[in-house]
Amino acid sequence: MTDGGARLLVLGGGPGGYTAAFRAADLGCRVTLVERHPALGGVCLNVGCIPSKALLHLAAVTREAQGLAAHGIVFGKPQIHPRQIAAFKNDLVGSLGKGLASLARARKVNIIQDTAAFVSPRQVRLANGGTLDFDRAIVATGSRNTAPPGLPDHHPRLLDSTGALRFDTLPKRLLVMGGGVIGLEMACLFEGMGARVSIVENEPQLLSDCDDDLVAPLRKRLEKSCADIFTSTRIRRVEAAGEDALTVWFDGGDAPASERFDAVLVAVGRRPNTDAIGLEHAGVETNQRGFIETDDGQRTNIPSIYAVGDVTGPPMLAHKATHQGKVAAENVAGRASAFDKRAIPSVVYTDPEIAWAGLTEKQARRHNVDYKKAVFPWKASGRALGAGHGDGLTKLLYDVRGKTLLGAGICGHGAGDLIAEAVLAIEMGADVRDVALAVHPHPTYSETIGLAAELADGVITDLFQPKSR
Amino acid sequence: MTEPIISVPDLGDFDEVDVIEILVKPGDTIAEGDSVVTLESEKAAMELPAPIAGIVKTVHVALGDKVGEGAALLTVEAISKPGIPVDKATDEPRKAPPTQPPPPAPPPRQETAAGRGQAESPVKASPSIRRFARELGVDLQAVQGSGPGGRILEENVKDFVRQTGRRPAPAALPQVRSTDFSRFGPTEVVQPDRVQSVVADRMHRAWLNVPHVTQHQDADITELEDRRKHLAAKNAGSGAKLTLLAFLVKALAISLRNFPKFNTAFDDTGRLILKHYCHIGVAVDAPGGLFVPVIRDADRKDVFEIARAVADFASRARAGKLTAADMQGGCMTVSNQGGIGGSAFTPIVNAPETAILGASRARISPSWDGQAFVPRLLLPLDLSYDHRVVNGADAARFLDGYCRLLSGTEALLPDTR
Repeated sequence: MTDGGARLLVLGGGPGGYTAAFRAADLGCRVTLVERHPALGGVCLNVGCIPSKALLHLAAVTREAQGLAAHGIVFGKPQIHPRQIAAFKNDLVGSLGKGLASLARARKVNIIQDTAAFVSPRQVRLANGGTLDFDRAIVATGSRNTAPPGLPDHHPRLLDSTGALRFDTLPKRLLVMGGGVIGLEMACLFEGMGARVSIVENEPQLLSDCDDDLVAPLRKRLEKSCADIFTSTRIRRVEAAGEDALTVWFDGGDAPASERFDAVLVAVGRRPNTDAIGLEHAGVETNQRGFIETDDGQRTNIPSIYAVGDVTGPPMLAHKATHQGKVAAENVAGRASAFDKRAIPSVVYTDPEIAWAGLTEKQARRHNVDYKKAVFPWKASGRALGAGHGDGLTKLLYDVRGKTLLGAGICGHGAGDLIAEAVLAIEMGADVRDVALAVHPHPTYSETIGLAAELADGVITDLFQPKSR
Repeated sequence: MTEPIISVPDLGDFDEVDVIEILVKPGDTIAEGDSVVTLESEKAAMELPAPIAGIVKTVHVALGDKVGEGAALLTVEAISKPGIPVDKATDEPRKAPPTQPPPPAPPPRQETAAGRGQAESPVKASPSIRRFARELGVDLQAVQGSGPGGRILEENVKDFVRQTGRRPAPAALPQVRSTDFSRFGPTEVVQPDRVQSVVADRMHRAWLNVPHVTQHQDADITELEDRRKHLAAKNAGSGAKLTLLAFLVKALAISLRNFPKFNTAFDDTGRLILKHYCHIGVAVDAPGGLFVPVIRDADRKDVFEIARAVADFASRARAGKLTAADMQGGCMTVSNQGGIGGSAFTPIVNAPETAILGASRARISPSWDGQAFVPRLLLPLDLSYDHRVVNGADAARFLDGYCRLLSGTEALLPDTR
């Protein structure tokens, strides 16, 4: 070391990596960030959250405009111009990427466009030649789409989420493989843009981590607008049917033996990018699924090396990665920091949206946690009904004795934004009385959280609640 | 299940020792290693660390009790406390793989104090309070919250820390951050002993509270050393050796009479207390650490008496037999490093004293007598003082006068007392 703070090397420029790099630089470390792509932001900014949400917004507004026909306003059939839509999305991504680059420059974070692999616990080798020594490294290399076996090697109509978000064509007949978060968002996107979409999922339920009651309204809507939803169904084989189509053979459920699609979108999961970065040369251990296990300070089993974000295991969420990135950076800078979270919100940007945070009923049953729940149906919300969103629900899970809020789940318009209140309440250790006594604005969707809390506290007047024994 | 009892451990040479301090009371939460009582033998006082963490249920001893090995001191209710993760010292992989935090975490199912396996509500504390507690190493399960619904507030954590004795650093003082030195080479951790802890605490307080200035001057002790050697030889065998230190103490006693501003204490309300007595502390470097025994009424003792007192203190310090009373009441301290070496240093005032005198090794130096350089024996002296009490000019006068006393010799000898 010549001068200044510790030399920190960050591998990967996604939300976890750039947040760690910026925080460490702000705390006096000398930071080098190695990112293989020309722009910072990782999957989230470039080929994930940001572009998908922009496109989902277009789909949702289109759908909502069409829905107004039932209330007396009739629009014509939408004209969809994929090339213009792609340009809008690319401009958005480009401008956000420039913003990140300027934040990095302002902090004098040295960015190297390359890939790096460990050769020891203190050194990496760069693919384009040369080595870098470091005092501490943070692994933030993220994850990538996985593909099941039995698919054609390369086919222009066999897509993953990255390919689909390029949005250069709009298939008429699309099969989405995978009824998880990414699959359902893609289904909503293409269905909203006019495609006939089928969904196929191995498990008996869509969004298998999420509580059933939160998924039900989404499933109901998708059943109306999608061609088919095949759950408990496997794909036996996918074969090219010329350049412009694929034939898919199904196994199980109500699915036909085979069907032809213009495009097949594979969204069956993501795997961590931990296999090509020389972790074995640094001695960093990964588990059977390839994830790096860390303690709550984001330390791996090797003291000089930390890991954040998708490489550390599920949930694979940008907002988890950014917080972990800060924790790692603070520990590198000598602070006592820990990733000590009671609630990490999950959001599915479908229509209706689904969001949950903290404890779910599925987890509660699995871990034998004694809990109670209060569910406020959006059918009883004037605001939701007036906007045609009466299919939603807001659910609070709380501790039996202290009535402390343990978890929340919301299905409905804007659920992803609404869940933030529950996250804050859980982190603050609030109980349902605190939430019930806080004045929520009327008439809003946020009111449903206050009303669910009133229900839990037994003081609700917006519903009739029989006296408890 | 019986509750653990903390009892008196093997005391070595002693059958019974006094309980001189009880540092906990029922209801206190103690961490492993926290001091619970102070025991005093003839030799030394020792704080007894708790062998386990827990909540104090009963205290079985009272102040002044005499206790022996095995005597029950406290009954505690054991609690398990998650440790704070600490970076390992080497690049070696950790033995056990760290655990992945399971987000979103189900609420912790903790064994309650009574040992039942019932689900507990999560601790009512906000994220910022949880971070604050983590930084202080406080387990929030043990903290009583005073906020709405029992929520733990920042002041609750601070109070808890105060009660359990783990003080947070004063807010105004920026902390020296500890570094992971293992990045640079192998390390080990050593707990300072009691003497070193006391010295560290005293020095830190003095350094932070006293605006220090150090004045330097050489005293010509050519004649003084001649006389001292002559007297020492003449009185050989009649008690303690007549050392230079005895003369330094004697001269200091006289200087304090001449400069009463140096015989003061600046009290914590900003008043100056003038002392009409003259006790001089002498820093003694003993195997057990740094001790400062005090020579009473040094102004009324001759150099032989002072020499005997110093010799007595030095031998008792080496044997670990100095008492607290031996080390109280000093007006000013002498720290003589002449026996070791050095040409100057900046001693820290032994607050609440106002000044300290340091002496380094005397050396023969060429001195201009007006016509030629002549070899003289010069003693480098360093006077550190509290600038709130003493001005630079006073200090210069004090040290110059002190040097003249040493050069003149007459005032220091027994027959001129």
